Amino acid sequence: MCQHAGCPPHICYIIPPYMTEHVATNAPDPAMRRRALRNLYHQGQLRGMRTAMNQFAFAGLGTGTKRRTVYDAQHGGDLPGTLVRSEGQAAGQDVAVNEAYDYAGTTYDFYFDVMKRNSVDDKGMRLDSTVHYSTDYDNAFWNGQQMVYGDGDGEIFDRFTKCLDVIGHELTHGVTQFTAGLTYSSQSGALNESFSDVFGSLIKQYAAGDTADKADWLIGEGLLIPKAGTNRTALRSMKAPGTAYDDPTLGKDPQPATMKDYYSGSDDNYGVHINSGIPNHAFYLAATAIGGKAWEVAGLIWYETLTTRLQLWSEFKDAAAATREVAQKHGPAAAKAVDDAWTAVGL
Amino acid sequence: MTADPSSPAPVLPVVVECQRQGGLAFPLRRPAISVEVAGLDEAERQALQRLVQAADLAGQPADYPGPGYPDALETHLTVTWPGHSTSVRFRDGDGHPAPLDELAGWVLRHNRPGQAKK
Repeated sequence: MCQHAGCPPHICYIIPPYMTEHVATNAPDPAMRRRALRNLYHQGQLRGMRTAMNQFAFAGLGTGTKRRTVYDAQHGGDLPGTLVRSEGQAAGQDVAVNEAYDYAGTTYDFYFDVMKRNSVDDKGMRLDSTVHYSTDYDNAFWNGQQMVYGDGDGEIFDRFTKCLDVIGHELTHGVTQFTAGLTYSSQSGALNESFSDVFGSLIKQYAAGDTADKADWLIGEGLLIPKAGTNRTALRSMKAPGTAYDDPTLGKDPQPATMKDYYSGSDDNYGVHINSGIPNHAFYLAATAIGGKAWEVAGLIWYETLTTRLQLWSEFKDAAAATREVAQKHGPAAAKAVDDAWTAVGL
Repeated sequence: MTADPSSPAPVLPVVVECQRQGGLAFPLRRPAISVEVAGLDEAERQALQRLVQAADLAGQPADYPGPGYPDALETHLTVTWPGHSTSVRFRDGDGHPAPLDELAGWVLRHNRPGQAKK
């Protein structure tokens, strides 16, 4: 039996991961880099240590060093797919690849510059994205290790890499995974969704330099392909939940803005994308009442709450109490704005 | 290898329906896509039959448990044979077998205007 430290019983990897990693990063031949990266990925999968691999793979790099990779699933379902772009390589012709790369970078910069967070795990985790996932795939998701983007169907949805806030939303699921870990069901799941919307919107506002009163507070604006006679503005509105779309085919945006209209059914993991409208609206109210750039005060309050105050099964009342408490560090005006915001949504 | 002549030929389904829901845009309603086997040519019928057999809906739970990944897309597949039907619901990341995705993808592609049929 292999006696190497790090090799599981009955399996020994002759080439240590750090050597493969060096090849993946530095080999002049792109095919060799690709093979090495695939080997690293599969070794990580075999060892059940894919997440750990992400954390140690570039652990020698200084804080604030972005590491991005973009893979192409070529319309299949295997992840991560074929490596098509890694950190520092020039943009190519594929718009989805370029967007996934650029917006992952914008998201990294936001978390690092504003929240002093070094990637989603705060340890410099490499940001892996796969584009062109499956066929007619109308979605984007975070699978616990990486982002995955479909191309949309060309009728209802455009490509899912199109919107910076969507990419920020998905990466924030990673931040939540490494911090509060909010369980993806019921109120904790709606909080998980809401934090992703809040930081997705803040990342977009930060990139545009928008103040709270000028921001659109929409999530996924432009993702729905316009159709005459319908409202396909966006997926969600934090300013006015329930108004993002209204279309005979797609239905009407059902998000509530307050607890009065709380959804208590079992669909959507007990309403994670529906009831998120309530904490979303509370954030909007707080940020606009505080004024200025929303990430400078309201964003910091929500970030500290997510990363230090909430846990697996936290509920709306827990988030309201925690943000009220954290807001006091930012002065009486911020404290009043946050208190009023939660009161307005019924919490 | 030749088929056992004593085995009955597999019964073709009548309709296969796929509805996707959920994901990043959960509440948004998406149309159900259905394929009527009677309207298919022979090659398409054979392809669908192979996919239905591989998906083995009768051997699947009606609903895969667990929420899947954050923003996972949920797929609801229903296959109707003469006299009965079977449905299964699954999400990205809930551990369902790949042939379910392949069947769903075929149905969605088949009825999507302007897309190549496979």
